[in-house]
Amino acid sequence: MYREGRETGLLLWAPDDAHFPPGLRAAFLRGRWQSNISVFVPDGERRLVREPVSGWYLDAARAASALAPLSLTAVDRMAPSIAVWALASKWVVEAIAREQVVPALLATEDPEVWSARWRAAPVRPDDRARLTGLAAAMPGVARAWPVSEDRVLTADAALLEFIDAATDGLLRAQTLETAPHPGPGPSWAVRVGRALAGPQNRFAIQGLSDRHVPDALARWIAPATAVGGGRPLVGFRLEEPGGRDSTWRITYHLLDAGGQARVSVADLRDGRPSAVEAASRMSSPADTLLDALGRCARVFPPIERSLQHELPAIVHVDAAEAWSFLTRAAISLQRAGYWVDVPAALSRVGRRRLRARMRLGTETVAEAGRGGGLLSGLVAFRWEASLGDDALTPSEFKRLAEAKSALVLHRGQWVAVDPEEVERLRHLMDGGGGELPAAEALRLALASEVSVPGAGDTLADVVCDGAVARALEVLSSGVEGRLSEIQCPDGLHGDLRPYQKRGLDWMLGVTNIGFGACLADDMGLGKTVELLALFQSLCESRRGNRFLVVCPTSVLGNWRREVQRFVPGIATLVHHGAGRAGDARALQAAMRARMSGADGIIVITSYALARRDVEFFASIEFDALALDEAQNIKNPEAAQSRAVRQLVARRRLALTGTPVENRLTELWSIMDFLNPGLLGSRTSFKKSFAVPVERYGDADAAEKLRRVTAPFILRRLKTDPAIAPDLPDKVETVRFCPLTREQAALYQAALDEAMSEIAGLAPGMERRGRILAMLTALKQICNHPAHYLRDDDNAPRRSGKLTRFLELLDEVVETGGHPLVFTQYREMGEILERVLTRRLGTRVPFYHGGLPRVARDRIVASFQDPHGPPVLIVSLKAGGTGLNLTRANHVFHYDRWWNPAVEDQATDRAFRIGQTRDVTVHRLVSQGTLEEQIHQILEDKRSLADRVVGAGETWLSELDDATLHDLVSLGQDAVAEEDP
Amino acid sequence: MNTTEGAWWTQRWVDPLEEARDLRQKLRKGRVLTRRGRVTEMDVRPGLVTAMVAEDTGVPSSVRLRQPVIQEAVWSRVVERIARSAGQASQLLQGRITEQMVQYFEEEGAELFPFDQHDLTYFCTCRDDAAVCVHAVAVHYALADVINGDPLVIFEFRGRSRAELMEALRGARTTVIDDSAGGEEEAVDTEVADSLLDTYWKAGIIPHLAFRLSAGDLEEGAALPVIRALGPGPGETSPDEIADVLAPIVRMGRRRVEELVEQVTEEDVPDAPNPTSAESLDDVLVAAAYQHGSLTSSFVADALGVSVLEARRYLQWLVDEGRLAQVGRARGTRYVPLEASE
Repeated sequence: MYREGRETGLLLWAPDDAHFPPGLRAAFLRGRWQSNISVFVPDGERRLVREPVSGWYLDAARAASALAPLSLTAVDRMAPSIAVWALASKWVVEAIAREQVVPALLATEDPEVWSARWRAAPVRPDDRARLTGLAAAMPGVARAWPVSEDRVLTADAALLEFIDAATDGLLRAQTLETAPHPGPGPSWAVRVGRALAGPQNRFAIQGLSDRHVPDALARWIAPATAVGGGRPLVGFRLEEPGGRDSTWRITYHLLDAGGQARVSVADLRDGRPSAVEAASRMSSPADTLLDALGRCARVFPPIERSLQHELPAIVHVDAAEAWSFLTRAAISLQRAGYWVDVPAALSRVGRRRLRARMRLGTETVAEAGRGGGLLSGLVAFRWEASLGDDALTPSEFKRLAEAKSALVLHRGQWVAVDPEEVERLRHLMDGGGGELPAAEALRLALASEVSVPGAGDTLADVVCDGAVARALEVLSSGVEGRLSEIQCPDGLHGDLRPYQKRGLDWMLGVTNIGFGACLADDMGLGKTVELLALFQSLCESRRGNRFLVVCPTSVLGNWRREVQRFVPGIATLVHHGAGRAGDARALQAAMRARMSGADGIIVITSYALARRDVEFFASIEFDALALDEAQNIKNPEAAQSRAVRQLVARRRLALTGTPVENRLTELWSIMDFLNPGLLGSRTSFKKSFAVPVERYGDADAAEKLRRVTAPFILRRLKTDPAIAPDLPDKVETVRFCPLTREQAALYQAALDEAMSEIAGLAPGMERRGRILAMLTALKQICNHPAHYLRDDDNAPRRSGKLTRFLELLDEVVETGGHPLVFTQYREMGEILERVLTRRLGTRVPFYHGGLPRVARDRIVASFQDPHGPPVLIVSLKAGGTGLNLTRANHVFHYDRWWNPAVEDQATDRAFRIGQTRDVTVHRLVSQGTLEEQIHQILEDKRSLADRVVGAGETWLSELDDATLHDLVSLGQDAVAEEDP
Repeated sequence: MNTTEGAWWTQRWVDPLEEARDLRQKLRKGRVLTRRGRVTEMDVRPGLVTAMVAEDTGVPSSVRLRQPVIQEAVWSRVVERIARSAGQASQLLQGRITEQMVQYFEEEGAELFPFDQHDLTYFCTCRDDAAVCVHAVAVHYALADVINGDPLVIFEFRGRSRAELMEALRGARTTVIDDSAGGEEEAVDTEVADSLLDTYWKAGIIPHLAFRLSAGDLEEGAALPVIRALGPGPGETSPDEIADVLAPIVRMGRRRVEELVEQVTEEDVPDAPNPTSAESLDDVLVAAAYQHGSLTSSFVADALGVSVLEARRYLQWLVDEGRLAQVGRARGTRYVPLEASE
């Protein structure tokens, strides 16, 4: 934060080796470049020195506009110095949205001229705690701007200054012409209003009668602006009559600044030691209480009656007054920042309040349509009056409705009967109910709440009967993990671990009753196997099933290999490349041809082709449709997302390893594919869930969303106590990835050239040398063209392996994982260092043997730090020497050493000491290249390999021409690039 | 001044003059002087008001207005009685005086307000020999204006400043509550820079905060809920009146901010290319070139977090696209908006 003249704003600057956070560049680039701004900077010797820095400057309002809309997840990843301002910006937006603002006048050099400023009023009880927490988390760099030679603002002052400056800037119109006119009122107020409406903030004292205004205004707003300083909050609690002769009463309380400790004034007056002690830590408790009571008496006049004593502690009220407090005064007092407590059961959603309730699913109006099960058709509903869990009989309702007072004794308890609610209920019940689209009905039933028509934000409970109730029962039992009778399918090669069996049962259960299911298990838990087991199981109950799997191009080859490995009884058809079927008929013919003799067929295609060929895909009804890496449809507007929604299938499934429940646009898109309509339209979803949850952390909205979506998402983490025992310590996966066209061309050229030189050379040093040079070249090409060509263009799209690696890495980092990336090449490590640093917006270190010891130690320490960089790149050689990197839980082998022992050693040593987390090892293999060939040799003939493979790669150089050629030549599906 | 607009205490202050029939002419003239802002440099101290009054011509007159302060003992008893009633104490804390307080003074043997003009002594440097001149009247009315907005000024004139009163009020309380820690302590808002050292890059853990934007109904009559709950503002203006003056401004600002809340961000367009390759970035860079006159590759590299080489390539591309022009060579190479190069 920094201030120039009267203007306060944020300067985004960074030390030389840091990078600007993504998502903010565009906003700050629109700001002003400021050079040579003096700030305090640590000089490395435990001292602070003033040094000029340069950076982008935005005034407080524009900075808040850029920071407030960021998602909380994005904020979480930012440097603390930016995160603090982003949260402060969100707080400002909240204060303005709730109109928690007051006018203030600031002195200028001229005593007759003041400058008007909006100030935010942190009056809600949790405001103080939130702002105190933010100030405590503010790092020094955020306020390193010198106010004088050797002083800076305190964290509290810097935070308040930014908040007030942003509030002021956001509330003012930018130009005089667009400035709104203040409403009519006393001259001083109108003139203050004018100085708050537009760019002009000057308030001139006019005559003696104005003189008191700045001072009086300051005193008037003081209770609303005081933050910290120990001034207590004043609170009111409505208490029910204890016995027959007793009355309703409101007791007075004092709360400490953080809203934590509460003291009843009665206890204080009686001199109870704990109360006196607590009050002694507050500043001016009595003055604050008396001042507040005087003000509050204007909101709730009965308070006036209590003001006869020196220190009032309580006021007795009658039932009518209690009702008025409950329904009106409590709300405005709360809004003004007072603590208010009323019996929860009597509140608007309380159990002792007469409320409307929706009863759903009395009968299903129309039968379910194509494949959608309960999601199509209409469901009937009606309204009823309820009290707590009980529906009221008509006579009970009548008796309550006719009571003279709104607070009535009913079956020995005080219940609240709002006359307005009675009217509304009469109207709703006379209306006789209606019908709802089934998807909406199900959403309401899952959320178990609905807003009452014509009653603003009043919520009613939802109860259900009939088909909706039965569906809910199935869904909720699925969530509880009931084990079914279904056996592991016979045709599945390999065993399912117990949790994988549960996953299979769950997918069957949910899809059996017509809903789509999202399997979102953690990376490495084996989602593919679970899905293939489902396919096999379906084929075993009926032969000839047809499945469609849509996946990213980069994993097409991987899928084909997995099907062949786990469910060899099911045929595959990869719909990809130039030779693919050109229309629906050709595709069906190809499917029939492949399927002969098989249990069923899995058509595998990419998102791009699913989009391009959507018309003929949509003409085929599949038994199941599965989206792999379903985050690919995270943008609901994208053509491929729209395309997959058009596909027709009896069962819909989505696989993803990202925490889909945390990224709501993506969640909506996937749920709308699985269960169309369940989450409503995208616009309404964004307004009621996405924005409140993602950007503002609204817990109620998040909980409601969880209730609605939980039955359709199964997400298990490796760390779940129920999962961990089923897992081996080290999960090993091979990730096949394609080459790009450029890589394939380079590969072929390098191969041709080298083979022509090698052919005919007699075994010996030269031949060996040439072979090793060729192998190195080919491996470099598989890694990245820039690694081979040294042309400095690190773009990920040039390498299929880098593209796939980044997809996997994103998934790991987003789920809070900490990967180690091993490469045997220094150059590749440097490429990865640059690419990852840019992609993650934070410096990603590269640990290699060329670094001095001190630098290496520093890198290890920073990676072990919970707030350190999420990723560490390690050169395989350096990594083999006993690092202690226990924070890592994923290991990527970006390239292969062709000597499993060396790899294992590196991996194991890295985890040797103190490793308690499960580790997933990912080996990246370029499909259809020497990498896959050698991988096969190593896998198939492990024992042979152990014998043949000595140290390093020398065994390869002993091969004859023909074997060598077979080993290194390009396979059929090496390239999987989308047609342009 | 039109006293019907004023508070009752303002009326009580001017009554002694307005009830004196022989002053009518002077009252009118004096009021005009006040209204025209001719009273300046006014200062109120216990027992004494001083001010300068300037007519259209001639030397400005210096006016002094005196009334003996109320005795210590009376003050103490009155403050004790105020302290004993929460209602009165609350009014005083809010900066207001009540009829009841005036009553307390009477019962304790003192008058808060002057009974007639003879309770006050006027002194003026003008040539008018009468006890009350137009300048004195003007100052009397000027003080009325001040009292109207801030009645505790009358207490100050009669011997007790605001701070002294609050202190006395606390002292007069008989309950166990210790308010001595209170008082409006001046907030300390700066500290020595060295205190930043330990927390320079990271202080506490960033708290996980939740925000709730919906505030229910804020339309007519319910806008600015905080202001409405604050009680009467300056010059006894009702909070609703102040809220109604400010509501149109806040409403417009709030609407702007509500748009901001739902504004589409880069995060909402998940498939959008990385900002460093997006078209919008071209626009941003071209705009920046306009704003700064020119761009250098190191500047762009720094801003985008890319290597200088990449930045140079990107800028070169913008040149090829005809959006920027290259001027200078080698280390002096700069990229300027196309128009500027012509």
